[in-house]
Amino acid sequence: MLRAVPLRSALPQSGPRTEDELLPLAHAAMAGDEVALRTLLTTVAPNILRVVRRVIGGSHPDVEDVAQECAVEFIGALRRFRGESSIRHFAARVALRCAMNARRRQRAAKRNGGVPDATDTDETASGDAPPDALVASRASVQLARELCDSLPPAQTEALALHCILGYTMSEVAAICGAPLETVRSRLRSAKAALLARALADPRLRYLVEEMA
Amino acid sequence: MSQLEPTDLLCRSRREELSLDEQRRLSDHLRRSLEVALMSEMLSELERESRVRPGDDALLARITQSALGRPQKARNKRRALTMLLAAAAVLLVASLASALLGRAHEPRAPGDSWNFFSDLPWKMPKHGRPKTVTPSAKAMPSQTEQSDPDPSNSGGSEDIPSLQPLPTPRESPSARAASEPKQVISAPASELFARANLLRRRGHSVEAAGVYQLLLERYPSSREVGPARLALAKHLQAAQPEQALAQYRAVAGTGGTLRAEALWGISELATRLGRPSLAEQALADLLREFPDSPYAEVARTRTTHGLP
Repeated sequence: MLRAVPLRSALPQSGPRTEDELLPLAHAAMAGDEVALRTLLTTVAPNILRVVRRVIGGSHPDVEDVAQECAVEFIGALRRFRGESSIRHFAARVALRCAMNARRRQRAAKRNGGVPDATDTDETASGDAPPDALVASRASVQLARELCDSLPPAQTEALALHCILGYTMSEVAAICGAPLETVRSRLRSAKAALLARALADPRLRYLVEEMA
Repeated sequence: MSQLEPTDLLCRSRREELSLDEQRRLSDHLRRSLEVALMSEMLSELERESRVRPGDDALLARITQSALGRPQKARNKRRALTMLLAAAAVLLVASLASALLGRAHEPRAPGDSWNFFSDLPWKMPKHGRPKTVTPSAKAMPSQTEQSDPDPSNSGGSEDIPSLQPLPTPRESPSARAASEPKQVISAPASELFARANLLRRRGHSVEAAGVYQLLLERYPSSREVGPARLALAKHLQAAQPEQALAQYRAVAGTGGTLRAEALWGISELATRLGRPSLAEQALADLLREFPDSPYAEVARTRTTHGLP
């Protein structure tokens, strides 16, 4: 069953991309044009916020801090931009790495302090979905995030870009600057690990039973 | 054209990019493949978590402002360091030149071997090369004496800079200037804004409001004014709703992306203050000018079914 998502502008852009419309802006920003930098950042900031919310959780109290950190990273990383991907994809990759690092730091702090995960009940209270389905949805996301903390970096990046941010495999290949077959192979291993964890998780029994 | 992977179909279905045939294939995969079903659940949940929500406009404005403020500071520091190094190099060359010139003009006794290093203006070790003059941290009093208010630039320290309470409006400007810490006075708008945001996030809302107020007074035409007014209005709306309303009106008057946020604030506050006509007017403006705003759906409901 598929759920409709109305916010098209917030989703990864694909399709026939002839020229990156943000490229001139990025070049101007790299040349020191403050107005261009501000415009560029204002344009990509919603993408950065979206990445952060997906990686650390939409209701996490540090969303703003981490998004700011990602935005600063993006500005710093612009000098290294060589045009291998679009600016939005580049921003997504920078934000993903930065948010993943923040998540790892938070996990380390949590292990020391024992603070539980921030859960916003509003996030899951959606319409007519049965409680089992809501638990399964939330558990699946949690599994993916936890798996990202334990896989090798290349697999983590591929898994996060594909399964968490929703980029297609060819887009992941373009973002990572890796051959499509390499990305496919990384994803195969990562998804196998995800499935193994899902089958062992009682919270996802609802999903497994639906398949059977 | 190669066939898309099932999970690729899923990604593209989220963007409504699938043909009818691809949709049928995806439905088939969703019924048969646990991997696809699991990823579908994940993406649905993640889309809920990352959806646009009320307050995002102001949040994005704060993120942009802070990010633009921070590298500027780093650039300025780099520029100061470069200038200091250049000055040190000039001094070194000048002292070398003066030593050489002075030595050249001195009459030399026969057999007097000229030791280049012994003539330099600093004390040399008897054997070995001259010490290189490296600018140390102590050589930069203006940078070291003033503490960096941004924790991200001070080795990760999470300390919040101590700030004195905002002076009352009746204080004279000179008395106010005397009562404020120097670092606050000299801080540019972006730095004040970042500091206020930090204070607010740490739960020091009164101090944060003071810094926002200071920013508005000192930099009334800065880029940070809009988001600062919004933040201040949110802080004031419980205790001083009339003042909060004035701040919201000021933001709404400037237009731009923050106007939607301000109009929503006006409608909320006007409802609380028992001024339904103002609230309805704000909602009508909001719906007319920002029909796709996160507030629009609630605004439509309120316009149709009446104010709460």
